[in-house]
Amino acid sequence: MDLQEEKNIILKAQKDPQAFGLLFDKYYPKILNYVSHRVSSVMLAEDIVAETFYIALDKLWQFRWQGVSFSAWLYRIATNLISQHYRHQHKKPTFSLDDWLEKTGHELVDDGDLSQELINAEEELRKHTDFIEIQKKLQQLPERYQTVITLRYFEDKKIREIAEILGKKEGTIKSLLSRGLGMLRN
Amino acid sequence: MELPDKTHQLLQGIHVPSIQMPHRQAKMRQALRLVLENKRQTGNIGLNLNTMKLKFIAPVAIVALVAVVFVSGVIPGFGTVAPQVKAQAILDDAKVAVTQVSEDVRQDLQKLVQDDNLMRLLDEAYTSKSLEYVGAVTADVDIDAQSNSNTLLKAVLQEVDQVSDFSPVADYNQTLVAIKIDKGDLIDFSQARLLRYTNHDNLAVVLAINQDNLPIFKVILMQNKPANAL
Repeated sequence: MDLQEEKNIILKAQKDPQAFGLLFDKYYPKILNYVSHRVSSVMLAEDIVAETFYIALDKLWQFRWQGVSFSAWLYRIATNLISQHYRHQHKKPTFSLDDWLEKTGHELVDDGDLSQELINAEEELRKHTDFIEIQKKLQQLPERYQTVITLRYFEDKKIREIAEILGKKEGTIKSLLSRGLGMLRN
Repeated sequence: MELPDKTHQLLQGIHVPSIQMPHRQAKMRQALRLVLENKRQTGNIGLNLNTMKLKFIAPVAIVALVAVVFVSGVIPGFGTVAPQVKAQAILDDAKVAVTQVSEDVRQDLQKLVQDDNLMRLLDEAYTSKSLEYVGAVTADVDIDAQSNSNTLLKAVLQEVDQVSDFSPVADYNQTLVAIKIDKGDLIDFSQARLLRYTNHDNLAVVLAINQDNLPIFKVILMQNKPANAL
């Protein structure tokens, strides 16, 4: 799907939301991976991704095509939701229903395939110990640095793309990256 | 750009996990489809752009509602709904059905649910799905007797059926259940977000409140308000 095709789908989806499914199918894996790399929990990531697509769908009529991939908008929504999550978390600690049931000895069971898929994804995330090590250090940085470093190195985005996602100038992104890497090194 | 070399190289060389969840992706896609269907049925704001009228009138309705709530000088976010006649006139135009909820009911809910996010979701449920508040009951369920969360929730709803007049609860498949575990300041709210993705007639928000290590289930019951009651 090139940019022109994507533009046509967006225009169509603005009149017929069913067409949004094509955008969902294309970008769900990317946004899921991005959020998973930021929040270290697939379950939480899935929740944030659901919210991301819900907002995108709900606000699609406001979207104005500017020659930039639709994914930039999705990344930005997801980034904002991650920030909201962290802010909320600071005010009110949360815990997983699954963890709670596990600790109290009660089993949380839902559809077999769906559960197993989630377990596999969590395992995939956890088995990369080097990545987790870096991620833990990254999460100690201010959020703006986490965002640019994740997009640059984990999602393999170019400086221009990160600038589009965050609505900042390329020079600003370069500065944030440089400072973020410096902080990470120290 | 000068980069701190080792960190840069380390990050470039790291193997980043890649997650694939096609079944859960399909489930979420289905959920979004349900949102569409729901919004089409209720003529809700923002999404259904098939009628230009809706597109422009709905935001005005929201602004007007918010304004009236603030003008009335009640608690922001939990204030009484605007005077019925005025609100209804606006809402009729926007084709958005809103259930009138009394301040008593809101305070009742607020006592049960000390969570802004849940209240926001409930507000959305009221405004978008024309649900009416039925009541709040306590369900006495032995959590140890349940094999998993599904049977636990079913047991809670069965108990609700026994102690209340909320008969539609008996049809579990038509009842949306959101569970919230409240253990002091610990709250998991991921399940409650499902509220947005369903199109069921009835809503039961199950609050599992931990008291002296014994979960007590408080259940908020809501059901679809008949269209002609609005």
